[in-house]
Amino acid sequence: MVKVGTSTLSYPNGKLNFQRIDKLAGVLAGLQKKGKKIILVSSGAIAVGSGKLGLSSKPTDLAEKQALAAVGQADLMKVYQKLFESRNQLVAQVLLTRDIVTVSERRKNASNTLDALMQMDVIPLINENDTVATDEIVFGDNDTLSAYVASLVKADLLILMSDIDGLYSADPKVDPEATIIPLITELNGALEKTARGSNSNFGTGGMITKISAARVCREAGIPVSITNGAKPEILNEIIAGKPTGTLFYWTKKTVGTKIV
Amino acid sequence: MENNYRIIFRIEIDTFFDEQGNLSLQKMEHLVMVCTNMRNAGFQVLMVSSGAIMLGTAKMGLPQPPTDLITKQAIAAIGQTDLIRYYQMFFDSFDQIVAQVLITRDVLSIPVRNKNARMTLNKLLEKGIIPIINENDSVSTDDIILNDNYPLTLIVAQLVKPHAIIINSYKEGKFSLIVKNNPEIIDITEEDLFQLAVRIKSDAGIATEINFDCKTRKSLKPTLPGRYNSLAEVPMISGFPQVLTLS
Repeated sequence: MVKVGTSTLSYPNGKLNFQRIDKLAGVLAGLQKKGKKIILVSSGAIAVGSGKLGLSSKPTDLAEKQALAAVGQADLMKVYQKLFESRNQLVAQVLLTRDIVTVSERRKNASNTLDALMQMDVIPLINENDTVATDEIVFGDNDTLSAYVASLVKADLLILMSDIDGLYSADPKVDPEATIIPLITELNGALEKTARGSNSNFGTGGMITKISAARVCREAGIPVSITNGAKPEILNEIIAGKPTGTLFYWTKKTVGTKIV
Repeated sequence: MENNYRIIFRIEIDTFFDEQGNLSLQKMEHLVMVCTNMRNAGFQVLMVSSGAIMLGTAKMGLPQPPTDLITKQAIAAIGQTDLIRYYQMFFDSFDQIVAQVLITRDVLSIPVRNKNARMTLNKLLEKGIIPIINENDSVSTDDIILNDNYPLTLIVAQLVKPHAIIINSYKEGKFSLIVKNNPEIIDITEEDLFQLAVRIKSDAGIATEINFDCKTRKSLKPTLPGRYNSLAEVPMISGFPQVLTLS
C-alpha cells in the first residue's frame, strides 16, 4: 500500500509533474505484474484543480477547496488512468470518508469493494471524498486515511512518500547534526516531540501525521515506511527489503499494547 | 448573461449504447453539447449520470453486468473513472469545465454533510462549472440495488433547488422536462430545448414558457405505482414528483 503526497505529484506552482507520475505508475504496475497487490492513496486533487482554474495561490476557504477538489479529482484520475492503462494495468477510483472507521456498514462496503478490486487485479486509487467530508468527519490528511485503509485491507506494508527522506533525529533545518532514524520499533513521547519539532511546511501533513499513521498501523501490526517520493524507483528497493528512509517495524510483543 | 435558472440533467447511460451493446461516443458528445449549450445560455447546469457499472462491465469484457453486490461495487469503481474521463474529454472540447461529485444518501440526514455538499455544489455552479454527480457506489449500495438514479436526482434537487429537471429519453433528440411544482412530465424536442434556452433569459421563466410557448409539447403517460391515479397525486419532494417511471 503506497501513499503519495501533493509535493511528490506536483511542482511548487501546482502543475503536475507528469514524468514523476509516469515513473510511479510504471513502478507500481511493474510490482502488480510481479504478483504484489498494490493500493495507491493519492493526494493532489486540490492542487490540480487550482492549476486547472489558473489560481496562483492555495485556497483557504472550505467551500472553495471542496469545489477545486471536485474539479481536480476528475483531472487527476484521467492522468492516472492514462498512465496506468498504457501499461495494461486497470485502475479504479475509490473515494472514502472517515466514516469507514466509525460506521460498520460503510467499513464493510469499502472493504468488500477493495478486496474485489484486488482480486480482479485492478489497482484501487484512493482519495478522501473532499466534497462531502467536513471538519467534523474529515481524515484531514491522507497519511491517516491510508493507515486506516491499510488496517482495513490488512496490508503487509504501508509506504508514505513525501518530499522528505525519513524521520530525522532533530529538525534538519535547525540542527546540522540531524540524521535519519533508520528503524523504529516502538512509539514514545520523545519520538513524537522530535516529529513535532521537525514539522515541515508541505501539504496538509508533515511528520506529526506520519506518526499518527504509524500509531494506527501499530495497532494492526502493519510496518510503515517513510521515504522520499522524488524517485519512485525506490519502491522496488523498499519492497526488496533494502534499508531506505525510516521503517517502523513492530515486534509482535508491542502490537496492541499501550504506548508509553 | 446569468439567468439564475438551475437545471439538472438526469442521464441514463443506456441512452448511449446501441443495439449491439456498444457505447456510442457520438451520442455522448452530442448530449454534452446540449448541456454546454444550456450553460452558455446562462443556466446553471448539473448532471446526474449513471453509467459506472455499464462502462466497468464493458471494460472488464463481461457479457453482462455482474449480479452480486460486491462485484458490482468493484465494477462501479472501475467504470466511474472511464465515465468521468469521457465526460471530461467531451466537455473539454467545448471549453466547459466539469467536476466530479460522488455523494451518498446520508447527505440528507447528516447535517454537516448536507451543508458541505450544498456548499460545494453552490460554489461550483457559481464558478460556472458543471458538477457531474453520481452515487459513491464503493461505500454505498442504495442506487445499485434500485438500479435507478432518479432517487439520487431528487436528493441533488433537495440540495440545489433547481427550477427544472431534464431527462434524456431513450429516443434520440427527445427529452423529458419536469418543471418545479408542476405534476406533469413534458415531452420536449431538442429543438424546443434550444429555443427555450434562447428565450428564457428574457422574462417570465421556465414554467410560463413551457405552458404557453412550446407548441410541440405533449405529456408523457407515466407508469404510476398502483395507489396513484395521476402524477398530480404523487407526493412531491422539492417540487418534483417522488416517483418517475416513464412508460
